[in-house]
Amino acid sequence: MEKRTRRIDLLQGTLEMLILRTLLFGPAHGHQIGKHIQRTTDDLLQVQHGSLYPALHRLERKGWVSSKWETAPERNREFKYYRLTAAGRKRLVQEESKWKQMARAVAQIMWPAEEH
Amino acid sequence: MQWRRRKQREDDLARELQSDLDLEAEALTNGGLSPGEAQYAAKRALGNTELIKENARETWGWAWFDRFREDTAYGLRTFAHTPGFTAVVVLTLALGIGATTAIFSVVDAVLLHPLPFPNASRLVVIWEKFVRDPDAPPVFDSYRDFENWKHESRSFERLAPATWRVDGQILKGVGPTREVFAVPVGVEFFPMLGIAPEIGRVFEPDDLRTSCTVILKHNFWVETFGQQRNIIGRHIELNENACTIVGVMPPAFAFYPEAAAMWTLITPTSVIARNPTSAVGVFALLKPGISIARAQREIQTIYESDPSNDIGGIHVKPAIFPLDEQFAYLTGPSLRLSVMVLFGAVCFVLLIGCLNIANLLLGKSVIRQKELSVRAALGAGRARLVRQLLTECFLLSVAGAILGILLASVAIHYFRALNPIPMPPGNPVTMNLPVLAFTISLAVITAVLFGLIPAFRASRVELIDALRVSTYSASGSMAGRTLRRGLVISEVALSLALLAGAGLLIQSVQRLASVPLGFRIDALASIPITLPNSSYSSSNQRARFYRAILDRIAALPGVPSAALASSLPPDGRPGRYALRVEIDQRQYSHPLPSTLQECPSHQNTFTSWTCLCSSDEHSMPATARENRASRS
Repeated sequence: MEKRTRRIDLLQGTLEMLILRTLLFGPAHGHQIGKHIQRTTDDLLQVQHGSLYPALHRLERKGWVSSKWETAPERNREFKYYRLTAAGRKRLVQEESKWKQMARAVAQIMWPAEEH
Repeated sequence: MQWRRRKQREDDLARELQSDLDLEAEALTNGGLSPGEAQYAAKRALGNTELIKENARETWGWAWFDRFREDTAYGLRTFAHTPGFTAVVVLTLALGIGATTAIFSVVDAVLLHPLPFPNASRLVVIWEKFVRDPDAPPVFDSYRDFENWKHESRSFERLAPATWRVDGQILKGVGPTREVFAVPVGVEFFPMLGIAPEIGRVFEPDDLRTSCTVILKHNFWVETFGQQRNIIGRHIELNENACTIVGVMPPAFAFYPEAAAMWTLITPTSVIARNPTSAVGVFALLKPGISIARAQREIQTIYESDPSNDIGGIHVKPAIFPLDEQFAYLTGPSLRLSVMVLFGAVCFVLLIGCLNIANLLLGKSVIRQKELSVRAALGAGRARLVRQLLTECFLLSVAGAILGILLASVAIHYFRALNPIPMPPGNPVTMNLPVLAFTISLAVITAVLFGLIPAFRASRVELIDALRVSTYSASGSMAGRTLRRGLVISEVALSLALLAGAGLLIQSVQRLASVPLGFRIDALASIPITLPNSSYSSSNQRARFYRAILDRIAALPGVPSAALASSLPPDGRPGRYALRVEIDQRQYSHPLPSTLQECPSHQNTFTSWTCLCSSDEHSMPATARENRASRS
């Protein structure tokens, strides 16, 4: 319960950007993507499966990622691996610059004195 | 193909989620949990797999269809549980939609698509209107005007006269000698309407050199010639002129007046063309892109430039009307209005039906509160519930519409068989594509109309309250009561308005029917007789005939009095009807209307008159009695 209060709800559209960023390291399956986001943010952002898988399917439909069932290394089992497409890379750059602009704008309002 | 791909995606997703579950459980087992516990914990971490699947499916774009299918199946199950309710709703809708569809088919045939001709939108008719009395009904043009417009106007592609202000013609040569109604038309009449004949050909300029050519109407051809196809070129005798049959029109061809049996060609030597003041209607096809107003200015200029039209000032002026509203006007000046009023009335009935159903659904939603709460508790959003309820309404209205279409077909069948009001010639009243499209949109509109408010009301689920309360509070919330009251109030108000309107209408019809005519008609008989011009060419001959027949009728036992008149009261139109004999009982003390003339020998220029006589009904002569029976 305590953990829950610490958790931050993701802004609309942010999850997609995080997924794309994660896939920049290389192909990964759904479980890896979720765990990676969670670990890198010290469990602050816990990705709900309920939104992760629909988000992955949405990205695939838009053509930003592609998927393929492949056997995992050192494991005798197939997983559905997602990888970034060229369009996805472009999209990530766009999303990133948008996010930066927004973060700057929010910062200017929240801490105006520190800027000067 | 679609379905195979879809199945593959479903399997894919299930497999993907399963592998996620396995990996999570594996990680937890490595962390020290027992496999069973780990499995359970992993499931809990993953959450509701069905919800995830549903959210994922949404991104595929098939979700709406799935939901529609589910909602439909669910709705049908609900209806099966409440057959009484369903039957009432469907029947109400069927009556409302059926009546509206039936009347709309009349609206379509009379107001929207009345003309069965190509280029119907460019067809016009030129009448003449009185300058000083613009409200008076328009009248025919003169043949001279037609010729002026024909030669001088530039607005029309084709221009043709036609007139039904003619006497019946005596037909000889086929079957018994009898009177037929032949409408004289110009040579461009049929090309203007753009309808090809069924057999033979239409009038051609060469026919203007022959004395008489005719084109038969389809049903006259069937009745008289039994559909013989070899009648082209055959002669029939009309008023003792030999006329050549050149064509037969197809059954779908219809033009005013409906009673016409054939069309004769107006040639330069025919009576109409020889007399420049002959009354004709001028029909025309506008050139593409020419407006009625522009054509109007042109023909008016031409009209005013003819000195013979200026008889001490202009009394009438030509006026152009679109042909599509004229058939209805000619059939009955108030036909358009009555059809619209009738349509408005059935729309009201349908609206009342919808309000009624909305009320029923609101009542039902109180009962369904629990069921909806359970669905909401299981994760259904409000939009989902509204969609469910609207789908049910849609199903109801589709069922109502199908039954309504059946009802309307039966109604249309009887309407055409009984012919309760005279319908204009032209497109018949049928269940055609526009009418069906109208019915389908009507079904959708009614579903939204009666379903939207109850759906929004019912979907506003107060979860905790609804689940906790085990018995339903029958009346629902305060707001719900207000809403239902509002519905009942508007329903009653609309019903009252409709009832008052219908009552007034019936009352006016009754009053109209009981207005005293000024004379009794219950024992009157009329006999129309036409005299052929050839045998009775001089007015003296005709006067002698009428005088003789009047004397002989008056001398019959039981006929107190007989009279001739140019037309029958209260119909004021003069002189184109034949001799009529009217027989009345004992008293005939009411003053005669002014149109009645007592066989005046000096007014013998008419070829036909109406003869009225009164008689003792019990000793009515056989001919008169027969005649009366055949007319009633």
